[in-house]
Amino acid sequence: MTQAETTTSIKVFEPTIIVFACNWCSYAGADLAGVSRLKYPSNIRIVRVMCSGRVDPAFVMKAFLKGADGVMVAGCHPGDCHYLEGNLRAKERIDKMVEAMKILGFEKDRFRLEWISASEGKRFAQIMTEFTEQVRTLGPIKKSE
Amino acid sequence: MVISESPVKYELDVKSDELKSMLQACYQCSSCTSACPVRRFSKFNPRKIIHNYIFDFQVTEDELTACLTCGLCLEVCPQKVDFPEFIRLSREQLGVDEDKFAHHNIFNIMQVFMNEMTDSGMKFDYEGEIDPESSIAYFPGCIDLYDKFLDLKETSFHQIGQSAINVINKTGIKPNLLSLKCCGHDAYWTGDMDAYDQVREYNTKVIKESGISTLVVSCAECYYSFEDLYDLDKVKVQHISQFIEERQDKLQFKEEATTLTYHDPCRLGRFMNEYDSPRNVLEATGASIKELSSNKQFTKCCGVSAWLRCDDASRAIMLRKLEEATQAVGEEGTLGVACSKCYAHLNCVLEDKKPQHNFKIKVKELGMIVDERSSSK
Ligand code: SF4
Ligand code: SF4
Ligand code: SF4
Ligand code: FES
Repeated sequence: MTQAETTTSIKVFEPTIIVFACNWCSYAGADLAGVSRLKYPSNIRIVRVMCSGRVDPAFVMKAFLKGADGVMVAGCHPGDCHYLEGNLRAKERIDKMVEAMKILGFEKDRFRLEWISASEGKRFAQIMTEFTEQVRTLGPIKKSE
Repeated sequence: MVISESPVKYELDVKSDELKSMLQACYQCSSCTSACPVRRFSKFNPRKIIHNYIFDFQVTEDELTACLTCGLCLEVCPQKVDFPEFIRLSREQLGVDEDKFAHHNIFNIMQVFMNEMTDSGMKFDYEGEIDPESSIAYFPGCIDLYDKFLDLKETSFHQIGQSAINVINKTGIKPNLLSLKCCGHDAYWTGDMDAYDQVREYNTKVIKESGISTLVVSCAECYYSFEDLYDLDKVKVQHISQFIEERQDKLQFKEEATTLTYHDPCRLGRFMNEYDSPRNVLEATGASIKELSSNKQFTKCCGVSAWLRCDDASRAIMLRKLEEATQAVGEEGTLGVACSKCYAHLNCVLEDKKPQHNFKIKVKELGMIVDERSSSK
């Protein structure tokens, strides 16, 4: 579905998606998407962090509690992290968080970890579009009474 | 020094008359302060806190969060002033700042998550014989989440649950594995009553509808919460040590003798008055127990409570515990604990990457020890 289609249809659910993007790669990738005038959904709210390694699982879980329908952590490709191993540590921690979500019975498709470099503006836009559609299909995050 | 004189002062309005008159019974003898494990390593002073409260209804944020609610002060107080309950109520009224919790508050976030984001209890994956029709159920607690969020390489929390199920199986029983939410102990003791009430209601409903007659738990906090805070009618709650004690004749124990020391968790000991079952069970396995210098009703807390505030004083308390244990059973010995949290904190400080200590003692959970030292008859 293209952006134009989603905005013209009135009833379409517009998810809120939080993306924690590292300053050096993924945020720069978002910038590049911007300056290249590539469109990606306005559902994406970017939180810039210095490194994906800064993102504690608590931040992700809290984003969900505060109403995010989807959350993504985006960092440099393995080997490219400006703090050497920040992204690898992030991956280790976040893989465990996904396992914890399974224990809690929470849909893990609402979360993604992606590596996006500063030169991948196009890929940034693609991933964001794809993830937005994925979360849109899942519907609004369910809060039990 | 960790406890500073914080400039943040709160006006307290403790509405409970009972609490007010209870605090006013304090005659400032300072027995509480002398006994308090936090005081040992900081300027924290329960006697002074009561004094300030009585005169100007003020308490600092530091004071509110530094107390372990371990109950040793209440144990030694000649006037039976329930200081931990005063702290709990104050937290309930004033709230506790999220930044004060260890691990970015992940465990409380998890608890709220269970309430707000899922309609079911935790999903467990254990080996062994499980029977959903059984009248005896086992609940592992939140240990599987500790494995995911505590960065401990050599400590397995899942093993606490696995060992318990192994031992229950060895006694010839196939337990039901109850999928509950967190017991809510930490929410209760940090004053988040909304979160606590929600899990309590959910768990009470699931437990009653399951038709079980006995609920067995490994964690001292689960035991205290289900047995003392909840109202489960006819369902009997048993700590794993009590369950094993009752059925020890079904187990065959290893011949080889060993020496252990045992730490009384505050929730199992002082709160629930259970000092004997863990010792009886450990002794039944053929171990002889060398006591810690502070034990039974005078046990010192492991150093962190409700994941609140893991600071220098906490670490000092843990190191002191390891020192006491080493004095009791020597460098290569084992310290048995009967609470998943004590097991977490003490192993965390043992595994600490920048050790300021060279303790080699092992910290093991009671069910694990029994599992290692037993087989079925
Ligand atoms: S031990 Fe009891 S009476 Fe003595 S100062 Fe403490 S609270 Fe007051
Ligand atoms: S409950 Fe424990 S930590 Fe708190 S004041 Fe009393 S002895 Fe100290
Ligand atoms: S001692 Fe306990 S609270 Fe402190 S860091 Fe270790 S596990 Fe966390
Ligand atoms: S700087 Fe980009 S992941 Fe570490």
